[in-house]
Parts: sequence; structure tokens; C-alpha cells
Amino acid sequence: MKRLTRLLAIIVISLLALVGCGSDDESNTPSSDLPDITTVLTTASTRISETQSLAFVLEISGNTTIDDSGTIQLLAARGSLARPNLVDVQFQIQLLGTQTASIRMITAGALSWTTDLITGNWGPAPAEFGYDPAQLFDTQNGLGPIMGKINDAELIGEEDVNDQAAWHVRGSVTSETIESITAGTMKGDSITLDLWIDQQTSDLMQVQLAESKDAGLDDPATWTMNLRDHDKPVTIEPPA
Amino acid sequence: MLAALSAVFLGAIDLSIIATILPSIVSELNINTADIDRYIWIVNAYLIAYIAAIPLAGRISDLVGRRRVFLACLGIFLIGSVLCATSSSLENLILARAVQGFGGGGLLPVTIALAGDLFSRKQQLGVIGTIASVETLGWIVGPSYGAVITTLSGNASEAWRWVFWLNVPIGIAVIWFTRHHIAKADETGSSHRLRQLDIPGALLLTGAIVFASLGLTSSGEIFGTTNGLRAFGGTPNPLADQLPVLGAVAIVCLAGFWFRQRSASSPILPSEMLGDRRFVAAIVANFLIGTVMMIGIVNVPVVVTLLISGGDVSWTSALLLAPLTVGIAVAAALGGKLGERVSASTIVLAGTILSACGMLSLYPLLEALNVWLMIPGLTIAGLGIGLLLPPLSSISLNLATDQHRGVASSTLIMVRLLGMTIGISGLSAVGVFRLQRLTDRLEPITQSSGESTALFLARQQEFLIERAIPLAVQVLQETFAIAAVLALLATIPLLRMQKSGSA
Repeated sequence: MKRLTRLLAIIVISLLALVGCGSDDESNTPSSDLPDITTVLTTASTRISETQSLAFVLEISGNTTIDDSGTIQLLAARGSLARPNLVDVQFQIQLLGTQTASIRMITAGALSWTTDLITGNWGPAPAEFGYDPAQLFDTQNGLGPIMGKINDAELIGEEDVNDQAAWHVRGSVTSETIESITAGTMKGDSITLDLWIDQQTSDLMQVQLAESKDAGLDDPATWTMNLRDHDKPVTIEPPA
Repeated sequence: MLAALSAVFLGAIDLSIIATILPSIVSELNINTADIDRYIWIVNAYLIAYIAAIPLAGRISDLVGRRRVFLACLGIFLIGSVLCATSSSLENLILARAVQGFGGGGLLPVTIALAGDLFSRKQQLGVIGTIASVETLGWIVGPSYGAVITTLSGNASEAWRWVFWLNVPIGIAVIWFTRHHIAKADETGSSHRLRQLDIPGALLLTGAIVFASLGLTSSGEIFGTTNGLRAFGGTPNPLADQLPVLGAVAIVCLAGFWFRQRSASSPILPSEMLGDRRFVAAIVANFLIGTVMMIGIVNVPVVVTLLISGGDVSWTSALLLAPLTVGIAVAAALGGKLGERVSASTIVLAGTILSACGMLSLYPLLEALNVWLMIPGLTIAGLGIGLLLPPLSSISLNLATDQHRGVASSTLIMVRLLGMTIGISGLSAVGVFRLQRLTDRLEPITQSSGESTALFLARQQEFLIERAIPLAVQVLQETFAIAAVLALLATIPLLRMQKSGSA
């Protein structure tokens, strides 16, 4: 009976460990010596305006349709950016509710190329290509300026992101404020914005945007964008 | 023995259950539909680990006792099931399936060895046959069981997780039953049939299967792809550049396995058995039939995913797989009865030809892009496969000496699973290769100046439905035709076997 008990205990412990692994990082209790939130945001805003390159991974939960009929959903994106206008990004979309597919886009200077959804072959992308991750660096509507437009910003505490200690800031923005970085797909008067800022370098490590559950949306979307490799050299070349 | 059989049944169910839940897993984990060469490893990992565990678990149970190893395997299977249920990425799920498969596969040889301990030599052949039948029945009912669970759980996007969660209470009940009904005395292992099984040989065989499967699944881009992405928005396989290395390692492992089998004192495939051309013929036929079965089991949900939109993919897949799986079950019973009047090799031959006809008929039946028209072809294929399975097993078992019947039974199952693994790996590569070639012939759609990305994607989506999806179905039609050819190829060793005058 002892062995059975041991075996069951192993299964239960494995289960509990897995459930534990699945949960998000919890905020540490805010300490009394938290820095001034305005200073944190201003420094981070300045830092992002100085950042020359970074890599990002965007994951979207909830409903983010990008067409009028609501059959094409944006699921995720990953890639890298380098100032002034180099972008290499791979989007993942869902079509018809069942087919998931990727589209890659490269921007080098004034020219852009995208892969064809059917063949995967490269082709030129017109200037009107809808979502432009380079907007993250934009001096008017990018991440840096957005940090100056946060309503009710609050320093939640200290958390680890990408194995680095980061300040967690929470506030809200209007959907117009973030229109350029979300291609206008987020709805509602108030979007909850969470930022994680590296304590040492003031690099922006993670951004989370969440549509309000009270906005009357069927399946409110949450965008989580993890940023890493700030100022590390990236090679982005036009497709051969 | 009932507890052991229940566990073998549970392990076998999880071999094929994946067929009906695979589309929902792919969708929920945001895996590209065209990346079949990556997500097919959810199936492959289980199969390969299952195969790897067969010789190892038997050997270990000789050393430390049946009950202990049986409970350990069941525990590994349950931990694997929990890991599967909680997986949040393709990589995690593949690893979890490997853990689950290792536990599931280990249950089979220990149960066979247990039969050796519990039953007289006279009774053993019948019991081993029952174990093999229960194992076969497990993967026959797997797809339907998966669909029922996902349907009962409301077809939610994460319903597939319940399929794995449900293994836990069932497994715990079997553990309790085993604890109370398999005597501790059995732990000494009174049978020594599986003693000194060849562990280095098992590892070399596993290495050969893993690297051959990795090489095969990555070979869809063998003649190069575009420098962008793949057809249908698939991403390039990161292992495609390593194809020569993967192939070389697989060949080295296979050669090592071959030499090991010649020098080992108790090889996995005893030389007496390998020296018998009739047994080799049965092995080759089993391998090919395993491939044919897996093409049917995996292709059907893929066809359904392409042609049916909405949340009823699992249920529709299960309904369509039912003629195949029920056909196998019904014809297997008939095959046993027929064996009293007709020679086993004749029944096997007839079954092979019937399954080839069924698979081939799916090519024209799918022309109308209507999934329900596949039913006659799948029924014929199922009847053919079912007809040949029991006599093919009995021929092989009759060819083996008393000493080697347990090994012969395990070998047959291993070889059939190997056929499934290699078949499914090759199938995914053929699919990727052909789809790329066919879509490359289509005229490119370009984004018009002033056209928004949303409108452009919507226009591409329309094109996908009208022109590209029929091409993907054509690729699947071709793989059904390949399955028919493989079934016909199985007749060659069978005819030679018949000529040699066996059975």
C-alpha cells in the first residue's frame, strides 16, 4: 500500500507543480522605497527613444479580427526592429476559424515585401500594409510617447521578466492612443496598460494591453508583447 | 490479468485517439495548419516511445518483477497524461506524449510476460493472442472515444485536454486493481522468456527510428522551398538543412542495430526468426499494413479540417473513421471464422487486396470535395485490414517456436507501429512537398495599390477556399493512392510466403 500511496503522491505533486507552473508571475508586495512613478516612466520613455534595435514576441488572446467580416484573426507576431526603418516580422493569423497560417514581412528603407499566403513566395508589399511594427519606435505615436499618456499610472511592484528585475506599472490609455501600434484593432474607451521596465537599464521589457471586460465585447482581447535584445545587432536584409 | 489488459487497452487508445483531437490541438495551440511536419510529432513521439519501451520494459520486469514495472509504467503513463493535459506549447506536448508513450508501450510486454507467469504453456498462445487483440481494439476505438469526450465536454477549444485528464482516474483505478489482484509473489518473475533482452539493441533501434522519422518529416523541403515561407502560410522546417546528418545518424544506428542483432546473446529479433523468410515476409507485410492504416487514420481528420469549417471537426472525423475502425473490428472477427475453411495466407492476401481497393477508391470519391463520400472507400479499406490482421498474427506466431512466441508477438506489434511511424513521417513529407509544388503553379495574388491589408487577406482567403484547398485535398488523394500501392506491395512477401508453403 505504501508504494501505491507513493505513486499517487508523485502524480498529485506533479499535478500541483504543473498547475503552479501555469500561473503568471505574481507581483511582490510593494515595498515602501518604490521609486517615483513619473521618473520610472520618463526614464523608460527616454530609453526607448534611444533604443536602436530590439526583438519582440507578441501574443494575443481573445478576439482580434482584422477584417470587416470578422473571419481573419491576428494571433501572434514575432520579429525584430532596427532604427530607422528595418523590420522583419512574422505574423500568425487564423482564417475561417480553423486554418492557422503565417505571413512574413520585411521592410528595408522605403520598400516592403510580404510572403504570399497561398504559396509562401515573396512579393512586394504596397505602402498600405496594415500593421507596421516600426510604429513601436515612432516618435509621435510609438511606445515612448504612449508612456506619457497613461492615465492613473500606478507602480504595482517588482517582478521578474526575461530573468531581469523589472518595475511593473499599471494604468490605462484610450484606444486612440494605441491605435498606431495595434492597427486600430483594440476597442473600448479605456484599455488597461501594463508595463514592465528593467530596473537597471530602464529598458521596456514587456507591454500588455487589455480590452475592458465591461466594454460589451464578446471575447475581450489581451495583447502581450515581450521585448528583448535591446540594442543588440540585428541583420535584416531584403529577400533574395 | 484483467487489470493488465485494461491498462494495455488504455495505452493503445492513446495511440490513435490523437487522430480526432489533433485538429483542435493544432488550433488551440496556434500551430500553423501547414506545419504538419512539426505537429505530426504529437503522434510520432507517442509511437516511437511506445516502440522503445517494448523491449526495455520486458527486460526490466525480468529483473525487478512484473508488478513493480507494470505499476511504474502505468505511473509514467499517467504523469505523461497529466503533462499532455497541461501542455501549452507544441514542444511541451511532444515531450509529454513521449513520456506517455513510454509508459503506455511498457505495459504491453510486461502484460505478455505476466501471461507467461500466470498461465500454462498451453494456454499462453491464446492469452498472448487476447493481449494483441485488446491492444488492436484499443487503437480501433481510440478515434471514436476521443470524439465522444470532446463532444461531451462541449467542443470547447480546450476540450482535447479532457481526453488526457480522463486517463488519470481510469489509471488510478487500474493501479488499485493491480495492487489487489496481481500477487506480490509475481514480482520475482517466474518466467524468464524476456530475460537478457538486448538493451543496446533497443537503444540503437530507437535512435534509428527517431532520426529516420526526423529526417523523413524534414524531407518535404528536399528540393528547396521558396526563400520566404511555405505554401498555406507554413513555416520552413528548421531541421530541413540537417537532412544529411539526420539520415547519416539513422543509417549508423540501423547498421549498429543490425550488427548488434547478430552478436547479442538475446537479440530483440532472434536470428532464428530473422532467418525464416516466412517470418520476415510477415514482418514486412505488417510494416506496410501499419503504414496503410496510419495513412487512413491521420488523413481523414486532415481532409475534414480542410473541407468542414466550424467546431465539429472532431465529431465528423470520428464519424468518418468509424467505417474504417468498425470495418477492421467486424472483419477481424470474420477473418477468425474464415480461417477454419480457408488458409490463413489466402485470407491475408484477400484482405490486402481489399484494403488496397478501398484506399484507391478514395481518390475518385474525394473528387467532389464531399467528406461523406469517403465512407464506402473507408469501409472497404477497414474490412480489408480487419480481415488480414488476425491471420497475419497467427501465421507469425505459428512460425515462432514456443520459446519465441512472446517475442514474436511483441515484434509484430513493434513492426506495425514502426510502419505507422515511418508511414506518417513519409506522408507528412510528401504532403509538404506536393502542396508546395502544386501551389507554386498558381498565379500569384498581389495586393492592389490602395487595397487595405484586411481586404487583401480576405481576397486571399477566398482564393484559398476556391483554388488552394482543392489542391491540398488533391495531395491527400495522392497519399491515399500511395497507401493503396503500399498495400499491394504487401502482397509480394505474402505471395512468396504462400509459395513457401506456410500456413
